Amino acid sequence: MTKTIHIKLNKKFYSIAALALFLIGALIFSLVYFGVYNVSALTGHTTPVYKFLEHARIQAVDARIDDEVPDLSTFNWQTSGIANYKRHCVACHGAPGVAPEPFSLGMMPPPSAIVRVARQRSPAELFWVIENGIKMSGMPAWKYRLSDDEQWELVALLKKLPTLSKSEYAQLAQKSTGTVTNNTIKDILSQTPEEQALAKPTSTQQSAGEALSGQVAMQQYNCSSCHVIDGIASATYHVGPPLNNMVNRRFIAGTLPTTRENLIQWIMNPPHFKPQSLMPNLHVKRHHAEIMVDYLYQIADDNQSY
Amino acid sequence: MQKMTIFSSFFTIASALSMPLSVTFAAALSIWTFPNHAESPKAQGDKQEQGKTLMITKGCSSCHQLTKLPAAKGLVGPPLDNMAAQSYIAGVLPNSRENLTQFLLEPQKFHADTAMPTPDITQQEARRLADYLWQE
Ligand code: HEC
Ligand code: HEC
Ligand code: HEC
Repeated sequence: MTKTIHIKLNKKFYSIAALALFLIGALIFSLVYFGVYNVSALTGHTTPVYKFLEHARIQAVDARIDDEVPDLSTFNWQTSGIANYKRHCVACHGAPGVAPEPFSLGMMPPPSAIVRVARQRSPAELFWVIENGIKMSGMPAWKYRLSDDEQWELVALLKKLPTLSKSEYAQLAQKSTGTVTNNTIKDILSQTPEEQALAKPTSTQQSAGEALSGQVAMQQYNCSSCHVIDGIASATYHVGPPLNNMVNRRFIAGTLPTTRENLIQWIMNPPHFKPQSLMPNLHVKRHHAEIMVDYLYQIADDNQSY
Repeated sequence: MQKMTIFSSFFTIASALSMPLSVTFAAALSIWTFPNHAESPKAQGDKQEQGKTLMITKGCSSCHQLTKLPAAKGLVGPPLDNMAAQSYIAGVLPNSRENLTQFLLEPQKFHADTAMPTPDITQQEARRLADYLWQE
């Protein structure tokens, strides 16, 4: 008798549990089915999703890395390391004072600011990421394209990058037997004619009908890979100063008085005002710089009561 | 018997569907308990206290903002929060404790046009300030 009651209870419990699980499953299914989460590469992930993905990635890498790290000083990062970096990585990740190629700015997730990553991650973590790449992002696996030694050279170089100033990197980049790019110091420190053309104000005609918000524009030029900006999910380690209350500070980059026009000019061409600055020229179009600055005014504290 | 099989397959499907939820939940939990990477080793409290005092007596606080020092809310230079997590000093100098000390002793040496005046501090005071700013 008691036995039957027991079974009945169990059945009831299981069916309620199953129903609950089914409802939860159905909810998640419909979130996916009806496309609630936006996968457009124009906007970034929301902060919780960004944090989740970042954390999941670090855990996934740490669970798989090999603790055996060779002595990095034995690798030739100065010549073949830099040559490979210029050939395979600069296009997406840039380098101290060197902007990445325009296509990479449209990627989501955006290629990480390499200097920040190099400071934050261990050599073993860096090696693993270079060898294996990262799924569902644009980071390629290099295992079958570069030898182990070449990959360790890249790790040794990455660990060196955060200690180099713009001109030090430019000198090394010039010295290395670069196979593809031939960036001379002059190329890096001054504008090419195309860059000058790009930096010229574009007519407002061109921007008409383009409904792009400053927030999206900031993501589309990958500003958030180097800066902490309210409303855009990004790493807490950063390359440049936080931009949250930028418009209320007296100076831009410690030299230009902060005005709306100066901010626009700075964003369009930082090395013009500060040649040794490690913020590269990202060829921001004037109407994009304008809406970015509007956004900076929007996120600033407007209450300056002290 | 047949009912049982239908029931258990139903249960399997339901639990398979709810898998993503439990994974998300577990991840959320681990993010919550995730230790902060940027934490630097705790320096001596005394030295930290000296650094804090110098921030005010040497005028730094009138030009810079620092969340851990409410008196510092100047808006001339950039905020100095969590300097250890920053790649560069003044956008030109690779960041390290040693470079920060050198920068504080003579900012113009690294950025000729800088709007930051040369602080009137000794080598040791510069080191205290650098330690204080590096401490999260
Ligand atoms: C096609 C563009 C592309 C190229 C080329 C590329 N990367 Fe990446 N890389 C990415 C993207 C995108 C990410 C960010 C992945 C993410 O956030 O999920 C990334 C991430 C990384 C990371 C890890 C960042 C982190 O947060 O831990 C490292 C290290 C790295 N790349 C190094 C390199 C090196 C070295 C090369 C050259 C051999 C290279 N990458 C070439 C796109 C690229
Ligand atoms: C490769 C990293 C990098 C990227 C990408 C980048 N910046 Fe910067 N940014 C910096 C650095 C480094 C500085 C500090 C420069 C200096 O003081 O010389 C800076 C400074 C600034 C400043 C002045 C901040 C201050 O406190 O004085 C503004 C404004 C700014 N950046 C806006 C932008 C915008 C807008 C974008 C996107 C179009 C962007 N940055 C992209 C690295 C970057
Ligand atoms: C008159 C205002 C002023 C005073 C006083 C001042 N600073 Fe600065 N500080 C600035 C400005 C402006 C910059 C930006 C410099 C640049 O980019 O060239 C700066 C930059 C810095 C930086 C680099 C910040 C970064 O994000 O890269 C540090 C660190 C710093 N100051 C610390 C101090 C300390 C410590 C003191 C006190 C001894 C001090 N400052 C006093 C105006 C000031």
